[in-house]
Amino acid sequence: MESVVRALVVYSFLLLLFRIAGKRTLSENTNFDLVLLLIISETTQQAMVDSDHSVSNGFLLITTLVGTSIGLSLLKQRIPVLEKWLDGTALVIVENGRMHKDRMDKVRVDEADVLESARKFQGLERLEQIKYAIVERNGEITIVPAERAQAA
Amino acid sequence: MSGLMRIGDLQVHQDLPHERLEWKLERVGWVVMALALLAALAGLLGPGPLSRATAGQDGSPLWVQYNRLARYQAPESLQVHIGPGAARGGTIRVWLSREYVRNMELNNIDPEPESVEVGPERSTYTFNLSDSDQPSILMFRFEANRFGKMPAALGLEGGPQVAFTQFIYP
Repeated sequence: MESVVRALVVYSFLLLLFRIAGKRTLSENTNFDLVLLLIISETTQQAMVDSDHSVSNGFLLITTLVGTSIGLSLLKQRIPVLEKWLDGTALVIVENGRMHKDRMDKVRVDEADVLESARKFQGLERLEQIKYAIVERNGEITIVPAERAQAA
Repeated sequence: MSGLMRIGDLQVHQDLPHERLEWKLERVGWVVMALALLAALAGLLGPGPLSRATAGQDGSPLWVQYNRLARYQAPESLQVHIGPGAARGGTIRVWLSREYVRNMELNNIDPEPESVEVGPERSTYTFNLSDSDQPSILMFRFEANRFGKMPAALGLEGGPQVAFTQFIYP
């Protein structure tokens, strides 16, 4: 019983903490984000597994975590507001080459981040080649290039 | 997915009022995180400066240093100070309430006791002291194996006793 409660507490805590941290935190922008993620997983593991290293405890924890995830996804399907709160929403930060500076500041994204995504995913060179840039729910910046949008 | 918005040519799941509310809550969350860290540094979430406490008078035959706030299954220690002259015939008998001992896993006692007697209410530890005119310190190292309030009582057999409560975080 304790394992299940432990996993639920850890799940809820991490969910809350990562929502508070914001979309862009730990979205693997830099190598160090990955390192941090690994350290967090290691710390979490110790708090969750405790001293019970049995296979049955491991199965129980995994089942609790996956089960909670399935349960929440079902709930989110039925209750859109819950989805908004748990997953957040997408945010348009560049519209027709024009940056929404205020929004970018709030989600801690700058021009360099936008241009990096533009290069990486679309091979774009300049800001004016971007029609839309969107910070997705997972913190990734997606780009709609101006030329392709015009051609469509 | 509901709540799709049309921004120019773009169909996107954006909700600005919700996003603004989230930003506000995010900032509140950051402040709470900072406060939690400060509290932890101060010793309000486990051992630390504000957590340290003593029971009994410093310099009296028996006084104890302990942590008011400790954590579940984390190494903890209890320093029992024996004042000069408290030992009789070179031995000192210290008892801990059974209730307290039951809630912990005693890892080690320094110095090692000569004998341990377990009664219904108390566990009594007998120590040999080489110089009973000098103050001595007995160290009980343990891990709490339940969380919540942990009442403790200990004393010298036929002598003074102290009582205190520790709070164990899960």
